[in-house]
Amino acid sequence: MRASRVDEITSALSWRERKVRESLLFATLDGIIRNPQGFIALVGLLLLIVGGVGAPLIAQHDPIAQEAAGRFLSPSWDHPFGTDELRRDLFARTLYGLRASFAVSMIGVVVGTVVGVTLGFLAGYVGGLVETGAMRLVDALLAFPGLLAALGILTILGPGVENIGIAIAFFTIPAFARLSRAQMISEKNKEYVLASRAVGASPQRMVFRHIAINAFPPLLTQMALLIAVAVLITAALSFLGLGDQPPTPSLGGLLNASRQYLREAWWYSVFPGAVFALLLFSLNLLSDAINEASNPYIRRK
Amino acid sequence: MLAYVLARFLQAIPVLILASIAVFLMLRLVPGDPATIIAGEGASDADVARIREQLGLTDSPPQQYINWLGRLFRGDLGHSFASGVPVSRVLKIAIPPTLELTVAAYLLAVVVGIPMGVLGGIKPRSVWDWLLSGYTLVTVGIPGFIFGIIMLWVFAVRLGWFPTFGEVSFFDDPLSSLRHLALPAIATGAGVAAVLARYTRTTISEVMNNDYVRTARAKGLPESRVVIRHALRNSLIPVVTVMALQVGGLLGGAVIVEQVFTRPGLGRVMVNAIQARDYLVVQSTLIILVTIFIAANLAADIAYGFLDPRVRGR
Repeated sequence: MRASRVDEITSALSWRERKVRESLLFATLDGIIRNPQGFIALVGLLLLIVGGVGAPLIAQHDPIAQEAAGRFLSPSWDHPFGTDELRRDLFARTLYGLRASFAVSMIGVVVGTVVGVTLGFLAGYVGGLVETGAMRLVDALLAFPGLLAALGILTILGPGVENIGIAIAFFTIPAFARLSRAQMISEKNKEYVLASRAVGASPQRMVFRHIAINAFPPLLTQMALLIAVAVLITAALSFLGLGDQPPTPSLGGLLNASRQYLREAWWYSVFPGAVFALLLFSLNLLSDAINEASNPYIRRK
Repeated sequence: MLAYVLARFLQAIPVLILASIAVFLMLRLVPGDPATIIAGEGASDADVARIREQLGLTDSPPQQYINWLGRLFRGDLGHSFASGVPVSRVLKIAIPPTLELTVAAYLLAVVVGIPMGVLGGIKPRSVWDWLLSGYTLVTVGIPGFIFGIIMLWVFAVRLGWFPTFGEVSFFDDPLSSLRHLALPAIATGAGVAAVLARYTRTTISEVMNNDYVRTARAKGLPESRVVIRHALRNSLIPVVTVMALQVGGLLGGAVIVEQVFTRPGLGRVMVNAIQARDYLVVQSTLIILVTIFIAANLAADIAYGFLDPRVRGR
């Protein structure tokens, strides 16, 4: 029933708009929303993004000021997530922590993706020595499991949230370089690329207008998955005390601090933990949904 | 078979060399002069020169790398800058607890994950299969260290069944050691168990449709024998690769879970070393962990050859 309604609308659209609707990106987005898992993931993510981005507007209290009426106040209307050992509002701290963790993961993955995809496309397009050299470099990076690589980079650069971002970018690069190289190699000999070459398209136009768009869905799946990994690593590193230093809040830092007060204040670990779990759930479900929507072989009937 | 094992060994060597170069470069990539940073502010030129000598920074980089490898093989890892203790002694104390935790978590993951995958895979859409899906979903949202905090609260703080912190060597007091180990091992292994279960489920449900399974059933073998002797052996082959890849995640997970349960081990050593910028300690720990990871992958390749005679020919 919904499909026929969509058809009705599309038939009334102009040619250009219809082109947009037929595009891979739109089809993928449409597939995600129609998939119940994908829908839940999008709603969850949207909620968290609004909470994180809007933290200064939503939180009624300062995340750092020690201004609550008491230590370890249990959740109430004024302090939905309760207060911590230093009379700080945990709702504000959780939202600001979420904001910081999410921002650093996103920026790290986006930077790593841009570098990795460029490297992979270049290697796949040019081939030869460039390809061999780039891919050996990628192999060396892949020899380190994610968290260990991040620990190594933090040793070089020192603890800190910006450096976690750099570490995330670093372990994002090899995964994307491999994937985009494979995409480039499989796409560059297809007929539509030959056709555009035949009509005299420049290499840039070919790569960016044609190949990149077709290589996009698998990269998007990988990106959602890597953001989930990045969020996890950011939280793990700040849990270890290698991220934002107190009093700046971070999800991992909150969970670490709450550990000592399990007896006194259950809400201290439960709420930041729940927000973090929701974030991980949403990102993983989203990457599954993108994969399902963009891969016709496993698309549900 | 011997040729196959040898070939795999030879293939692992370049990877190990590349990884060791990367770890070696770590110290050279430190912004500024590492000797000056290590010596700290207000150090005399003589101190800086002494540290530079100690780090072997006076030679050419390739020479430094060779020297470093040579010392590594002799077990000379240098001295910790923070405490002055030989790094080898620090690691000798820190490695056993982490190894204990990793091995326990791994065994747990295999013992729980593979049967769970088999049960879910031989009967898709059964109760076991739904349980498996639910379990996987939960471990995706609740990573090891959060699961650890939850268990710490319920089983150690509330119920008091397990100690809340510390570690006891298995060889000193096995019972107490296991009590200290139980929760951290479950926290570290739970996610790996889910990954193994998922892979086992996929491969065994594919294998169950093969002709030889039908033949085994047709000749009247009991179902348990069909599954264990015929289906499982073949479906384990891809699982072995995943098992090796999980070693990396397991080591990383152990490092964090150790912090949750305040267990001594490599986790604490690494975190302290990073905060104190104790480069040699981190460098040595990383090279050991990466070697373990590469060795695990090598072991998986060799196990592959034993499980599947077809691989050997290639």
